[in-house]
Amino acid sequence: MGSGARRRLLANVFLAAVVFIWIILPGVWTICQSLKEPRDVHTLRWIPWLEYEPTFAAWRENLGDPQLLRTLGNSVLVASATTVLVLVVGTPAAYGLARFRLPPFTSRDTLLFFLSQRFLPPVVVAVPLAVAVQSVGLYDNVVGLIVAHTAFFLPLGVLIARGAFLDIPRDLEEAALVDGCTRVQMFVRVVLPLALPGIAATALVTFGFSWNEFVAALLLTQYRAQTLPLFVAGSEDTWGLDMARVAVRGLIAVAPPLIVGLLVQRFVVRGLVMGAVKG
Amino acid sequence: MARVVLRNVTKRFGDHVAVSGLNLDVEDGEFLVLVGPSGCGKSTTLRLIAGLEELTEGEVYIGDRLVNGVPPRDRDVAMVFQSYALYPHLTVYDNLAFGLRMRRRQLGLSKGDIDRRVREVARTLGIEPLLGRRPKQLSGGERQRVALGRAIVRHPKVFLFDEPLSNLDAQLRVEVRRELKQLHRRLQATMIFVTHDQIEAMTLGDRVVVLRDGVIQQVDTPQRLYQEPANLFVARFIGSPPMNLLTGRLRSEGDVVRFETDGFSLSLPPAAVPSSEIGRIVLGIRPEDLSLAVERANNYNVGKAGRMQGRVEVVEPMGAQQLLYVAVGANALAVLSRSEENIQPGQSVPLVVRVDRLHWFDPDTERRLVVGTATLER
Repeated sequence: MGSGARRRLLANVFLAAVVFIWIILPGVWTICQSLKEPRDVHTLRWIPWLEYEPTFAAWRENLGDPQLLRTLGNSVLVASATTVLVLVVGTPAAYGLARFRLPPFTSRDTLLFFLSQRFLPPVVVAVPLAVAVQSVGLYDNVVGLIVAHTAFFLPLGVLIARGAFLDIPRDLEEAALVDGCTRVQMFVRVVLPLALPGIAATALVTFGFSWNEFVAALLLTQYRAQTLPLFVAGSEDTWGLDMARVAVRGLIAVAPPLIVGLLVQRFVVRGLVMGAVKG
Repeated sequence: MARVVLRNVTKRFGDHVAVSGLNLDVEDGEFLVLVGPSGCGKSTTLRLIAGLEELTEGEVYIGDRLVNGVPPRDRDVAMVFQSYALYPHLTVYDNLAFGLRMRRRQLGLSKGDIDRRVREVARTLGIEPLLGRRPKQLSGGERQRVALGRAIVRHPKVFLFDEPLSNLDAQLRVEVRRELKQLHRRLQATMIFVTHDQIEAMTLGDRVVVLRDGVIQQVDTPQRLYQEPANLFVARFIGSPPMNLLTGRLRSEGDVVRFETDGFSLSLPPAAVPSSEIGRIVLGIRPEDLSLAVERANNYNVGKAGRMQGRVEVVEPMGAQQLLYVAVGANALAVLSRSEENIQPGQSVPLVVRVDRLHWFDPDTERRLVVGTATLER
């Protein structure tokens, strides 16, 4: 084995170890916890049936809880709607910023203005946002949260999508125009298919951010529009923290983005390396 | 097929003038080449014809129709890009069919018509086996062919080529150049071709337009461009190795005129010069119009018309010929000579110049001076 191959092997082993410790182990541990009786929760036992007697009490309790289904539904609705809105509004904006300028500003200026909306910590805008949402009667309403999330995550979405458009050579657009396309046909037939990986990445990131978002959800919802992160955080009751319950809710909260990620993954990977392997 | 006419065409980008007051008539079926160094406005001119840039001033006609403000899709032109600009997400077949599908209704084409035309073009270009592939799976030459096919399949009024050969390796370039010429003869179509390569321009063009800073320097056949460059810029730009240019003065001396420059003077018959007395003038000599007079080296007679003595500094073998750099006075002259001559660096050689092939230019206006007619007071 050459020293290059050995180094590569070592790097791969290291990477695998990191992935295992950082991502897989917590997952496995959470699954184990969800099956434990309260008395086993604080022990370092891993394997059910062998090391401890598993119980499905926590699963039964949670799956029968109507608020879980409600928050799960809200989260799916909010994250999906936010993603769709960010794509519908953000993709044309990103294309515009990639190709045109708004005199007297450069497209970089405009982009910076977009991003500057995200420089402030969310807490700073939290109170005015809450007041605004309340005043239009959207408090504890998923629509209010969707609007807030769209406003929050639009700039980042535009930034990512713009990168995808910048990667598309102008020649292709001009070839399409000469070949007989109108500008809209050119965008739909040539630009969009080529930007698809970048747009998929934008969708995934937006979905993930909206799914995990806590502060706005905390301020703008109470019960009807509550989302999963709040429900998970609310696992503690007067009896203290029920670890099995937290584990179950955590697992349920992680599943949907994981599924979306797996579905979109093959596009995204292409999107992230597209600039590097042009041609 | 159509004529293309440009009238006083000007294009400005902010303060930068890319094309300035261009007038050009491209005949129906002509192969016209626009050539010039980068930034001379040749690509911009092409893009103005295609409609990818908007005119600042002037008029563009394609087939006698004024196309100012007409979008590219309605101009019925096809363009081949330097990068080929093949749609990466489509197969070769779909790339070829794209333009036809976009105009299906306009042209009244059925799916069968499109299929027939795509296959016919693929067959003539020898890319039939590639129809199912994507551009990524093609070599540079194959991509080039598909790009060409995408233009041909549409039967456009005018073909526009934006440096389509510059991404090919040298051997392939020569091959595609020949194919392009055959294609032009077969299609009898109007073609406008942009390149920065003067050899490409000379070999391809029925006529060649030399551009500099957005201004036309000369429009002529390749022959005349080479033999009678209109100014110093064209003289320098056309020809490889480039023309030797010497600045000096002309002085009448008995029945000969002497061209005097740094370190040497050359006797010339009065019929070979624009005027017998000029204070400052540029003399241009093509490397092949200088030859060694080795066989007469012993009885070399300085003072005889068109003769001078020099010392060889560098010898560059080029196969059938060799390029010599010969120091004459303070100048180094490029000389093309037959390879059989055994020349060593450092060797002293007599040179003889063809006095009927001299080029004269005014150093201030840079314009060509016609032999025997110039009247310059200086």
